[in-house]
Amino acid sequence: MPFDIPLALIILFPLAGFAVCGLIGSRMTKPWPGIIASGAVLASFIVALIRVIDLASMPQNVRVISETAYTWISVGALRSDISFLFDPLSAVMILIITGIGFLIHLYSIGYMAEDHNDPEGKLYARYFCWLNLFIAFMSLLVLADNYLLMFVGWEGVGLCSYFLIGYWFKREDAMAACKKAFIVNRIGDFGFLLAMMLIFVVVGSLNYNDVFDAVRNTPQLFSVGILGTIGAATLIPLLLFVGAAGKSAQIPLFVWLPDAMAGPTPVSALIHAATMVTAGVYMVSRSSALFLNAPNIQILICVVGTLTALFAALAALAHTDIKKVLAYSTVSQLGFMFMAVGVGAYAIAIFHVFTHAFFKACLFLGSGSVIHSLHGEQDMDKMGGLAKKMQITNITFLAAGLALAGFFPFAGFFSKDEILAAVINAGSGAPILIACGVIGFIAALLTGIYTGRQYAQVFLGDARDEELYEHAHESGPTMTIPLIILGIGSLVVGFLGMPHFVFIPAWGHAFTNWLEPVFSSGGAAEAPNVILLLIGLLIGWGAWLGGVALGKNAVGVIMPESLRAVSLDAFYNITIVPAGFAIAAACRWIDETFIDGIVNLVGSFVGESSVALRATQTSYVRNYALAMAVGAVIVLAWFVVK
Amino acid sequence: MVPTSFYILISAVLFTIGALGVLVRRNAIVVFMCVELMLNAANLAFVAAARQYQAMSGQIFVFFVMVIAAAEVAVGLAIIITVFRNRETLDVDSANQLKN
Amino acid sequence: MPVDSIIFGLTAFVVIAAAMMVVLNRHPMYSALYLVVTFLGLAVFYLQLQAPFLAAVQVIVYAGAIMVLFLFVIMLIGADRPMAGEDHLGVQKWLGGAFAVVLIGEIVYFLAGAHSATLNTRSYVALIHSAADKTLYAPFGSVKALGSVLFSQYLFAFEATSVVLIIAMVGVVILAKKRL
Repeated sequence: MPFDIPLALIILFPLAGFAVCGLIGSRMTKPWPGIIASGAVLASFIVALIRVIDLASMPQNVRVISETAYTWISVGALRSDISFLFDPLSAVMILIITGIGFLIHLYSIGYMAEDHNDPEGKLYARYFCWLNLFIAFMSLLVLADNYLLMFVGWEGVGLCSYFLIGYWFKREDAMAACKKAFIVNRIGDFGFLLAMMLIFVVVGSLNYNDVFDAVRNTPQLFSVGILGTIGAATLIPLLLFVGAAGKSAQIPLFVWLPDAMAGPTPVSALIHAATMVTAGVYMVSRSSALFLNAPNIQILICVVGTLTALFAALAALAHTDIKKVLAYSTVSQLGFMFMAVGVGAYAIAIFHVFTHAFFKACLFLGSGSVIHSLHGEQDMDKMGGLAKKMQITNITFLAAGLALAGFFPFAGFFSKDEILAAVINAGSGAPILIACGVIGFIAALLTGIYTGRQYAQVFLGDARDEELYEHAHESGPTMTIPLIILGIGSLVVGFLGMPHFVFIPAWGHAFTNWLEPVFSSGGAAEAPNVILLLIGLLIGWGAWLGGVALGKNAVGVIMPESLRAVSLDAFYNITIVPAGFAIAAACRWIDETFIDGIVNLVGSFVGESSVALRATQTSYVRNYALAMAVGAVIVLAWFVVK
Repeated sequence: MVPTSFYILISAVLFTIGALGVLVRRNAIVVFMCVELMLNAANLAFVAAARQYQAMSGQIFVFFVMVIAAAEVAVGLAIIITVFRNRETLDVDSANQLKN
Repeated sequence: MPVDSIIFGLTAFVVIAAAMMVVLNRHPMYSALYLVVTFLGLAVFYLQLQAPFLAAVQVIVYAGAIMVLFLFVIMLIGADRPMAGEDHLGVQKWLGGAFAVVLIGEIVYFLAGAHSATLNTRSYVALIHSAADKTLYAPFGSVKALGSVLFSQYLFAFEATSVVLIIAMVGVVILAKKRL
């Protein structure tokens, strides 16, 4: 290239789109805000692609581009600029964000055009305005080169998620869900903030390079004890994981994700499948150097990820709402990603992020296509037999579903099985990880079952509701083209990260090789365990076919009604929510009784004293003369006393 | 020769009686007369001090006080007459419109 | 007992008694007459204090002019009756009495010489003497002495008082006219 295109453009294009759609979007006719927004994201994608090509042309061990856009904070020891770090990890993330983001923008142009929640179409521009802002913040998050700037992006995507979940702001469920998402995210953000403060206290800087150099060269800095004997080396990774758990919906902070389905379906696809929820995985992977010194925390992460994967998969089996199943599926897959992170297989975790983005987005968009054509119906019990009426949606949903289930040779197989293999391999160091691996296989089995069931319930068999079936139709090209692209992606991208068998050509592990230099611990260069892979392969095939069989026989729910009430939400409603209300009531009492009391006391004191003082204004001259005389006497008395 | 302090004492007593009269009486003219009483008490003090220190300034001062008192009485009584014409009463308590 | 003291005692008694009658009497006319008596008593005091000219002026101006003016006004506006209506401020009497008692007490306290040490009387005396007359060409208190000081040292004040008198006359005429 004759000149270096600044990385800042990747963020500025969607920001400009946000400004345009936000300020004058409401005056444009229907598709234009969408076209402008999609164009902005496409421009970002092109810029990102060009820069990635630049990056690839650099030798492998120095594959880093740093750019500083603006000096932001320079106060005392704290120096945090708007500067970007572009290395293979950010490259992968930014391509996902802008590429899949662009496809979802395209999809949304058609999807949001007929919105039965918004018949007058007044909210259309607002949607694209927030969506663009989201892309801008998410790009900022992955491109930042210091924790503070990443936190800006982190908060920003949380904010946009709030706005987008609560997009139909007249709906009660949407408003409750968006508040819940924001508040639960906040809890995680608190952990992240504490971690950042600790990092600053220990290292003196929030810049990635400074922090990671400090970990590598002067690890003794981190052994300073913070809480008694717990050192910073343990506490910082723990708090970082708390932050990641909030954003990436791990136990116990995943409760916002299923409720977030109250937002429009493309939002669920972009934010709650492909990008925002993977921010936690990105953040932990980026901080891999910090986790190196805390093996206990890594085991904790793996265990939490495993449990999340299992329980979310069980929950997915218990729902009949097409989007809720996908939501719980996302939580489960995120659990898988954290399992990989927990054993240090960061490259594999990011690979799973990559493949998951494709097939989950495809699944969500496909479900959106179904919902759209059925005019808002989301209950799978009322669907069925749509394969004949919506061919493109059918095929792409099938492809993505197979990928999710881990059906060889689709994408999900490679990423998920490498995760499980890595976990079991690492079990040689810590036996608990072997248990995690086994549970992971069970979760993979459940994944296949619920995905197959979902596909069969929606598309195969006979229509369960004739009236809805009559109106069903395939969606327009703005919606089907992204579906096709993502469907093809779900098929093929898996081949970029195949395990290191001898007979596989070099491009087969291009992905992991690409990411190799970024992480501190080993990526995935171990010899693959063939047995585990075969087990995974059989599980993938078997689970899918079993699930399809279940779905065809219209067995919707495996779990009895009573168990559905047992949920983390219910637990929170019993424990934390009343505690919160009690604290709020106490504060209110203090405010009303004490503080207002004091203020009112001052006010009434002034009033009362002025009423008392009014008595001196008798209006009789003689009284005033007496006052003067008494005053003179007092002055004289003072001389007497002196 | 009577000591000066006796005269000062008489002056003080006269002054006090005059002040008392100003505070207690309701008739405006009587109040005015008590003011004259106070002035005369001060005059007495001046003359007594002049005698003690053999300084003529004291008597000069009394002279001037008398002149000014005369002018003041004239103007004051004119004011009282004008007020009386408007209000028909000489009660100083009648001016109570600024009550509370 | 020297004659001075007897005269002083009698005159003091008269003056104070008359002053009290001024305050305590309900008829304004009687108050005015008692005030005349007070002034005459004060004239006697001035005589005793080597100020004969002032005694004469007191009688002429105060008792003769000012009190006559008072009496004219009292009779003109018919104020010779006692005040009608009740006294709303009864408490004023008691407070006033207390004030009077305290004031007398303070002054007696001062006169008893308790504070003459702190009050630097010497400098005041020096001040008085320095500002005062150089040499009197006549006995102290005589008309000549008064005149010599008045028309030399206090000439400006003397002229100023004449201006004051003119202003007072003009003011009275304007105030008392029924139609300007």
